[in-house]
Amino acid sequence: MPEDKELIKEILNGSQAAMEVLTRKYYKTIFSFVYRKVGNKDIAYELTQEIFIKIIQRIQSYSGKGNFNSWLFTIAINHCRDYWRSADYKRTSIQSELPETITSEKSSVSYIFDRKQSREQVKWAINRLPDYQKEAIILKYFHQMKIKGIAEVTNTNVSTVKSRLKQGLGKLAKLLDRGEEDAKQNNR
Amino acid sequence: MRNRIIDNLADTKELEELEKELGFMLDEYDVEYPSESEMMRTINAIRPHVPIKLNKRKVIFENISSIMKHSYQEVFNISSLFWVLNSLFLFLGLVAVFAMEQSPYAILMLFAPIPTITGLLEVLKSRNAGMAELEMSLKFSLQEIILSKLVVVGGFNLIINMIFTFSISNFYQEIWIWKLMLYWITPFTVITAVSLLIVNRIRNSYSITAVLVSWIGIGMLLNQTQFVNKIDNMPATIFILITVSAAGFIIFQMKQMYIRGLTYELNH
Amino acid sequence: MNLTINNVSKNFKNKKALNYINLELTTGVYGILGANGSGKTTLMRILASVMKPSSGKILFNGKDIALMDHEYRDLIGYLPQHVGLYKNFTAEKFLKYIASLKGLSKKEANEKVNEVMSLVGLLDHRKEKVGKFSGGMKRRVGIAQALLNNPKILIVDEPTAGLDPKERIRFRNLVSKISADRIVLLSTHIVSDIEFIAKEVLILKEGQLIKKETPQKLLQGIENKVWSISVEEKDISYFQEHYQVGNIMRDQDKFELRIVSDSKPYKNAENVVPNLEDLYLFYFEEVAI
Repeated sequence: MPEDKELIKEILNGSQAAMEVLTRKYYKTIFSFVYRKVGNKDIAYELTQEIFIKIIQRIQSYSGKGNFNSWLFTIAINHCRDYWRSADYKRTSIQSELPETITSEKSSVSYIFDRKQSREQVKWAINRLPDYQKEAIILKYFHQMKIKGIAEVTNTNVSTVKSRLKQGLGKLAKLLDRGEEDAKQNNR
Repeated sequence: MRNRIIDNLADTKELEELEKELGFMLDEYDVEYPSESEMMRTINAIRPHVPIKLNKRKVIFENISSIMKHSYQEVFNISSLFWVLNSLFLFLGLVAVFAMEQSPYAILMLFAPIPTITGLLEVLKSRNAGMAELEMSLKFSLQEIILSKLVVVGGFNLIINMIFTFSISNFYQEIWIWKLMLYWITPFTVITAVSLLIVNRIRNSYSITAVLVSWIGIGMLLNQTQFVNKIDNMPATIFILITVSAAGFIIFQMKQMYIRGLTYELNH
Repeated sequence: MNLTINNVSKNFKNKKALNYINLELTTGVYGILGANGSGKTTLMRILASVMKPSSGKILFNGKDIALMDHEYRDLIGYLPQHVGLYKNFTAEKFLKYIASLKGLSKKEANEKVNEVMSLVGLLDHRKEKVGKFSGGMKRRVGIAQALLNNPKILIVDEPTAGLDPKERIRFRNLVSKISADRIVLLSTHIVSDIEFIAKEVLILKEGQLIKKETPQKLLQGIENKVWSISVEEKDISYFQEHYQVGNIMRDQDKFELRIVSDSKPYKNAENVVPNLEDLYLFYFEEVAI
């Protein structure tokens, strides 16, 4: 996009205003990706902030050839992966995940027909997917990326992305399906 | 039945079908976005990472000179109360030294930052007069206006202190002028730094009165005690250290203020 | 010259003040109509660059105003809804001060201050303190300062609130006098303010832009929906409960009600020519002032 290029040029010239415009433009996109990936608002907020700092720090290394959006996602994905491996994640995940899975499986599953609960349901199911599958599904479904694009930003090839999507969606269907059946039984 | 579909998944087409099937479920997963002020916090956190270009020096110079030029304008717009009040303080200080034979060091230390504290009322006038919103829309931005006013107030404070210093040193031959300077520059820079903090964060005119009253109160109290002697025994390096760090803080705050602008309550 | 508002939203803590506004403005007067809390003031503040949109952007002749920074602020004249003025300044001193903040040189400022003061009819009061001025005169000082830099975009928020009818007419004439070659945005909840001077009326409701039309077009839209009906005093409350009732006028021992309704409210009701106040009633279901 010519407009992004202009903004990047201004940022390289030291324009704070251009940085603000660029950040505001992509903030929601990146935040929503991170949020769906980590499933927690506070962590997503922190990670998004770190991602944007990285983006600005590395802005001169964006060559201007590839798609800027893909470049952003590459940074975001790598940053999330780093976080995943970090001690930070391991510490918080122990605290937050245990009670969540318990409540999810036992109680909220049974409310699948309740509209309000179904959001939690999907969230729960997505969070149970392995990392790479989760990533691919979020990019494909919520960010309307093409399979080729996903391969590019996740640094892999098309067929791997396809199989991640297949497995992920399959697992998701099972998870949600089981939830539905549980709910039906409970409703009887 | 769905399980059978999963088993038979073979190509993209089926992938799409599955996606479509799950689509309505996935749609439920909306995102709670951070608030405007949280987003602003992120933007402010990014600011220091925006590259700095070398020819910025020219820009900085231009900005400073435009602020200086405007400061000259502001001199005529500062209320007469400010000038009168501070001339009165200067007069009182001189009386205290010459007529009441108080220690010139202690008096100067006490009086040194007062013009800046009282001047803050002028600096924050835009807001108190309900002019802040309008001034934010002008070519010369609100932060530039406030910085200009600070320059005037600080400059006037410096002049008053100089007058004080030289009139005392002219009459008291035994006065050590460097020591006298040190005694007022230190509280002056410290109070200026505190003032900037007030302008940036609190922006409340009551807080200025509070600073003023507590400064005079503490000063008076300490004058009665042995505190002055203790100060006398403090090595000059401590004074200089305090001054330098306060000055550093002032420069940092001013820069922040200039670059970041003032986030007034409008944006929340 | 055009000002493009592109997908602009503004969120406050737990409220959406503006919701994806898209607009294209060219020279002429635009009246922004909306009830309190409709997002009028937020939109004007964003256009005056004193507030930033949460998302979306504003382009002036294709350039993002956030990047234009002071270059943009040099193009606008803004009068906020609530403005204090420096009470101890004389009108002349105040305007000269603002002129210097708008980057005018001393010579330019002297000329311009004279010009705008005569335009708003304050030349005779130039040496008086603005603190002593009436509400209407203060508002005129406000307009005068907005005009100092000969703005391409003039933004005035609720300029007629609290003015008496005579002052309002005066203000209306002033706006039509200065509207040539500018984009003028004028928000109000007093419809008669803009009925004759607005090129287009923008109707905002709960942060959404629901209409952007010429006043004539808007009125055509509610043709045959405005009724006049003559009733006994005891029946008034019935109609107020079931219909949107605007003006109530006493006519000897009976009362004339003005009703906005899709269908004929009562057998003796007669269609009347709609005006903008009926329109306001139609969109906001409350009585316009």
